[in-house]
Amino acid sequence: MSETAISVVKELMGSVDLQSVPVTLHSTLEKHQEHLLSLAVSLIDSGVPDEVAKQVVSDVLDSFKIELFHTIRSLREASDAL
Amino acid sequence: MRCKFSDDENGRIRALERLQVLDTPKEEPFEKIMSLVKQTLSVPICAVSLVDKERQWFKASRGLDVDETPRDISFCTHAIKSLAPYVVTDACVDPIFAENPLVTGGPKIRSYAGIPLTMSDGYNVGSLCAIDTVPRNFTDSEIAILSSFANIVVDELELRQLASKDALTGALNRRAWFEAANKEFERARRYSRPVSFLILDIDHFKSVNDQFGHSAGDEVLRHFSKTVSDELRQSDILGRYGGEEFVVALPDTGIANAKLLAERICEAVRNIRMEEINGNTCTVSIGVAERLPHEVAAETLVERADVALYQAKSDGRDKVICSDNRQDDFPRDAAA
Repeated sequence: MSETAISVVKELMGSVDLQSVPVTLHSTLEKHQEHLLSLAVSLIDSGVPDEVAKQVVSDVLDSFKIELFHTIRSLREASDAL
Repeated sequence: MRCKFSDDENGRIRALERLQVLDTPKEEPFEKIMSLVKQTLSVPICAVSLVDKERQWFKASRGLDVDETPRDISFCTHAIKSLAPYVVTDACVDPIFAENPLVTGGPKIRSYAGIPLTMSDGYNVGSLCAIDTVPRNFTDSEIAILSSFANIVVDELELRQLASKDALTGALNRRAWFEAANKEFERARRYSRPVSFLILDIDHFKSVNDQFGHSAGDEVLRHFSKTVSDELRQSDILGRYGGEEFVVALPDTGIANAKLLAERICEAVRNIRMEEINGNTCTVSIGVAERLPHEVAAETLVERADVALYQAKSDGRDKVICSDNRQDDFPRDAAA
């Protein structure tokens, strides 16, 4: 597996505040991290420059983080409603 | 390789419906993925296609000026039957697609690569596809990139689904259950089909919390939810309605079969031995109601089931009470 891809994804995932993510969503986040890694590897292997691959993975992660925030909020609201 | 569930079309459609994504507005994450697919694969057309009963509907797309097409002419309906990427290098010479109106007319598809969107439950709900208007051999690298993006699309779809679930029990939360139950209610009303709701309340649950603590209470709720879920069909919809109160929507089910199911649930719950409460058992009271011909709102059906539940509690608990005892009025019961 490409060392560059691993370091790209590791660096980007560092921006996710795990403390704020409920335990029930950790496996979802781990799975997404694996998929980001596959994406980074496939981009770099196909000859896409590292910086471009990093930007693509970063864009995908940013979108996911927004939806993750909505999900966390929905789960909290549902929990409060019980 | 064929998808494990390729022969279970009803289950696949239910899996798609559970996502509650059909006919929803555009969303930024999917738009972003489309832009990235178009850019990285240099294709004029790409789409997140969800394959419904009679149509393919595009959650997001580039290079297409329609939101849906009939399913029978879609390339993606072929892609979802497989676990592997589905590739057509030149549609004009392909015996399946040469006469397809999407090939002979707009958008003039010549080559296609579709990756099935396989959800965690194994169903292919649609595909992520890249399309060109010239013949094209998609390389292994390009297929790998497209497959990676398909995984990202599935992540996004499943994240939305998680927002609708009760974190403790995995049942739908109250809001999501009402949305899903309303759809079943409307479908029943439109097609004059039966639909029944159950409301279930664990008996003496407060004393479990008081005696054994809230962690034990949570475990009881998990056991209970799983036990109920094991008794349901794929099409039935389980939700957590309140603390220890659950609801089930039973499509195509009249009150007679709904009552039988409720009695099976009572029996199954009675048989659970829970270590968390010193090997004791718990019981459940259940109210059952079937939609009446004049009934127009799912809420009133819930209310009638709730009244029946109250009666079950008043009559000593651990029992099933049906609203109105109307078993003889609906002979067209379709559920087993």
